[in-house]
Amino acid sequence: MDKNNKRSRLSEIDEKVLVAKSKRGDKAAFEELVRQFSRYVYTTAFFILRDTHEAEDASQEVFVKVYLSIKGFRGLSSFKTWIRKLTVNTCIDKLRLHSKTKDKKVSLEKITEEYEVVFTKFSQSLEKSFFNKETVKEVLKIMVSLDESYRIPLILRDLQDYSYREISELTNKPIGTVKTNIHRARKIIKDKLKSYR
Amino acid sequence: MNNINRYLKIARDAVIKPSDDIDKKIINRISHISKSDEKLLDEKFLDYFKKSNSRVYLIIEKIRNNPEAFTALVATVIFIIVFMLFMVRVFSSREKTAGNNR
Repeated sequence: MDKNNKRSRLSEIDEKVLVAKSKRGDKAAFEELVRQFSRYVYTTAFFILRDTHEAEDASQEVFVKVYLSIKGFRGLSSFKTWIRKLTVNTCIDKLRLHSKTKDKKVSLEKITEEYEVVFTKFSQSLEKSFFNKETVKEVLKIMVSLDESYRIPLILRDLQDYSYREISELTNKPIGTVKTNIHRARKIIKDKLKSYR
Repeated sequence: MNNINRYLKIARDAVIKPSDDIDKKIINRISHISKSDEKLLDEKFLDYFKKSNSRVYLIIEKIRNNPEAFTALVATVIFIIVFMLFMVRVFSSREKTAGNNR
């Protein structure tokens, strides 16, 4: 078992213990869950909403929902999967609510000023290669600057592991369109990455 | 395109450093939950909550997300059953023939 696997197995056990304690009303355990997952939830929210304040609001909303309902959580899926889908649902709802009033086009420069990307775990090869890390950051910056119709399916598919069918249901678009948009989004990233070099 | 997929895979481990202390803000928010916050548990949330707590729903979702894998699994199970039935039949007919010869 390599280091990363061992670590993720340990955090899985930790997670289960914390969830069990939180279900019994242990506030300290719930606060530990917040510490473990807040950055993950915030990141997902930011990539979808592209606004630091909205991402913060969404993160708080997600954790309030979790806090109010954790007693009924049966744990059929992992806590991470549960909170991940809850975050995506909450953010997509917010996006729908704001899409009529907000300007959809955000400049790449404006967004890149607002955040700093860090890595939670490194594979050894990534750790060794500064170039890789910087390229991933570049890829994320381009991804965040994409139009909603490309950005959301790409995030859901490549970062959140949603199936094409799930994305199609969530975005109310046919599967064919979803697949095409994801393919185009990857191509845009590839082309922009080339032009930066 | 392969490289892009590789970078996107690595990007799964990337998180954004929030400008302020996000955990403290959330913990503070949770400490001040009021009755009105229960409105957040709206119909949509309750629907998701119910589904995420249903084993049947989760299994159906898994099948719907991987129909090819499910079809392959069913085909394999059917093949194994048919093969076993065939073998049982072959052995029993052999035994019959051996009995008749005796």
